[in-house]
Amino acid sequence: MGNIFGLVILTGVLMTFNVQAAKTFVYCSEGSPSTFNPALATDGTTFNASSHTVYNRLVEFKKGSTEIEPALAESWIISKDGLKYTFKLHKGVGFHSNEFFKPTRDFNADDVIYSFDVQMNAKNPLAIKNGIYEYFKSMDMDKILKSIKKIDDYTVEMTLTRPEAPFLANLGMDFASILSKEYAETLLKNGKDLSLINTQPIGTGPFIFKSYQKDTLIRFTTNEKYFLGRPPIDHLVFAITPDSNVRYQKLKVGECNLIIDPSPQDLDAISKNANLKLKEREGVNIGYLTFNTLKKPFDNLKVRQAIAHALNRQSYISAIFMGRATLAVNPIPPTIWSYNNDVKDYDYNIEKAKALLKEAGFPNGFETELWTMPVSRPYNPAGRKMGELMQADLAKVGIKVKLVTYDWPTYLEKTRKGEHVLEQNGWTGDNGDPDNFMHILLSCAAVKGGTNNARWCNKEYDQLVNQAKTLTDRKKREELYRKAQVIFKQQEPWVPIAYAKVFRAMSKNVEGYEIHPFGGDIFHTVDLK
Amino acid sequence: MIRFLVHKLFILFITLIGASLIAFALIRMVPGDPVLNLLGERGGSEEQVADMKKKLGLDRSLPEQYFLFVGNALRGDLGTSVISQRPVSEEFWARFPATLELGLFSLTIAFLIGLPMGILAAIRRNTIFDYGVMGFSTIGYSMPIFWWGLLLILFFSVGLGWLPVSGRINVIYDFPVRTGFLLIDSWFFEDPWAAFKSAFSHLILPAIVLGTIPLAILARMTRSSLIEVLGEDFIRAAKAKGVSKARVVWVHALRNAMIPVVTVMGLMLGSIMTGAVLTETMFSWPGVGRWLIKSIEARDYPVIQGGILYTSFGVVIINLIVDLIYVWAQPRLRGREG
Repeated sequence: MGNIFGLVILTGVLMTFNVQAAKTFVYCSEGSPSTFNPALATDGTTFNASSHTVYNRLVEFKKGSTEIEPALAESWIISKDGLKYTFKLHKGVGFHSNEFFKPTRDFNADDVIYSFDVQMNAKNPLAIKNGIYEYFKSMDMDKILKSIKKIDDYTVEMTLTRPEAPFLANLGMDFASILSKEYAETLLKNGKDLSLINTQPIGTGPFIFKSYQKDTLIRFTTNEKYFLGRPPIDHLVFAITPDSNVRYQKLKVGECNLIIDPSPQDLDAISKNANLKLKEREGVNIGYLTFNTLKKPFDNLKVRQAIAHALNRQSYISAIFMGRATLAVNPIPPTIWSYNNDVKDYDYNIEKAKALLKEAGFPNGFETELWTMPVSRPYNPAGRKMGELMQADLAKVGIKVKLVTYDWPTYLEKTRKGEHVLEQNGWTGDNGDPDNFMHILLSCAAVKGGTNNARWCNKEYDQLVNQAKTLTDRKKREELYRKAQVIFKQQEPWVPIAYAKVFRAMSKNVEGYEIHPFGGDIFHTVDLK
Repeated sequence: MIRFLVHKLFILFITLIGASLIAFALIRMVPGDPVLNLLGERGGSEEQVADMKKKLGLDRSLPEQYFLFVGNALRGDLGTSVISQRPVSEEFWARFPATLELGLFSLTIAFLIGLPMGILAAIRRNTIFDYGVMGFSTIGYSMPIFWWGLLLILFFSVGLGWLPVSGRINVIYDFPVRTGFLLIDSWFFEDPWAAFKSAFSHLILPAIVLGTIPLAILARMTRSSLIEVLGEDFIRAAKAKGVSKARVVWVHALRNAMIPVVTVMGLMLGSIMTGAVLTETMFSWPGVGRWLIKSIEARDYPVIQGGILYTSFGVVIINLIVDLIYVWAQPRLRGREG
């Protein structure tokens, strides 16, 4: 009897040992990916599940940084005129395999050309039918990239239509992930649907896609032959958990190793819990209040400045962000190079605000509408609440504000049409270049493009950011962006509110995790101790 | 009986046409469209928006879009999701088993507890037990779902550690999905008992949360309906005849009292089939409700149209079944039409 008992215990111990021997890392994510083809997506949830796990790019962002480093491209040369980029590719990089595909060759120049050509050339027979390669276009890549040429199997030359300083950073972005041409060809040859690329992805990345149960979980196994070094964990599971309270509870009981975006009100408890770790970092984002500068009275600079003085923004930081954000001044966050520390902010000063309103011809204030954001974003976790604080502040200088909101698609449509007067908005950067904020959000071209909600078109500012776009000399660019920030602040087409921090909570034994500045989660170097 | 069925099927068809038309029209009356949602904060030029609309077929006229949708639906093709770019039917069937498993389980709980509670309360009218049941069901009916759910999670999962917080099964159990019902699929795992236990324990809390309101309604309905029947003449006649009290209640009264209860149960099953948005979100339950709500937020037209068509089909079928049970329970209705 005793023997049997001992055997049972032994088996039990062995079984636990077996489970522990293979390291499974459970990441509790917030939503379902829309696809596993990063070229077809624009959202971070999809990128976490595809480009950061399954794929690589020619160049990538250094761990935890906005700096570029070599990845599938070992090195590159940029011609003097900034129009030709020649990439030397990494040799001996293998693609994953699955039930539809076993690679017969390593990654080479054909894969690079294929990955970009399907995005710019709808007639490419390997392009996904009706696929919308949205991000590529919104970064203007279809206008910038003239051609891609194969010099030899491991050398690729890209020719640009104009010098474009952020081009290299663009190649590090998710949509520029490199897919396998041979996989697409094999599917076509075997009479399979090309859309299998979107659901059964094949890449060169640190993790191999295994299965996806809709809205439940995604399974990956480690790529033993990963060319940048085998990841320390053996299995990676994304457990899709949309409710942030539930994510936190799951972390506490050990059902998750790491959770995305814990709620602001739980942060204190997490940092006090001895079994958990909280990581934070400055985000690459900004939340702001937009004036529609084409509409009265916000076409009047004095009115805009008066409102900048009237808003007690520091109180929003403590009430809405629980103190875990930085007061915003410039249109770019300090995490982006060229941030101008010398710009003088509008201080919170009701008297100054009243005086400016009087000068502008509104001694008794006026009535207006303020649109509050219906969705929660790191840069504005509670739009309505922030709107109420703004309403109270503006009432003190005689401006009566009516709060208005719509559901998100409606909000986007109406602001796009310019129906708003005062509107909350924000932006999260995606390639670390100042152009990614200062041109996309505030240039004259962006008024037409639908991203400049202030509809603000200032000749002097526009010239600076347009010129900076075409230079490759970083020092010169920095000078231009710093000047542009001064003009922005003087003109105040938005009142910048906050640069939000990004948070991840994890169990104590998680090591080697670093929040990516653009908010993505990367598990290649993560380990469980 | 045949005439009855034909009549019902005709009504079913009309209902589906109506549902498809309403789903189609309503979602297009709301501002915003899938393209703008895809672009998000990022915006996009006019030509880009026009180009995307063309790819999605949104540049056609509304009647054209509707007839295209209906025509394809009749051939069994409900279109392709704008967001996932996968067929709507595939997306639906991937989620429906989760919804059905949770729904049936929670209704079973509601039935097994609510029905006896209602019967006992009716028999022991105006006793402490009756007041207790009525009080309990009032609380159950009016409790906010998300609050109730979080309370249970805090108590049973975080506090006592008895039950898992969310999801359908522990992630360590990796087995192929065959039926989509994890209580069945888990038996194909190498260690079936462990996988089944995991799936079962994940089902308990969401089923309690989802089953609370049906349970409360069921208890009240059964009680009031039974009390009414117990006061009728034929019951008095039976009692006068000397039939035992138990037989009066269980055989004579209950069968008649069940008719309104069955109707309500049918309606509840119908509403549960369309998914329980709050419960599904809270417990990360990958069901139809959450999927539909997310699609509405994203203005994913094909999914909304197709999803509503599927769920209304389900509701209509359940109503048909309820009607048949009715006829079975009350032979008088067999002669009638409708």
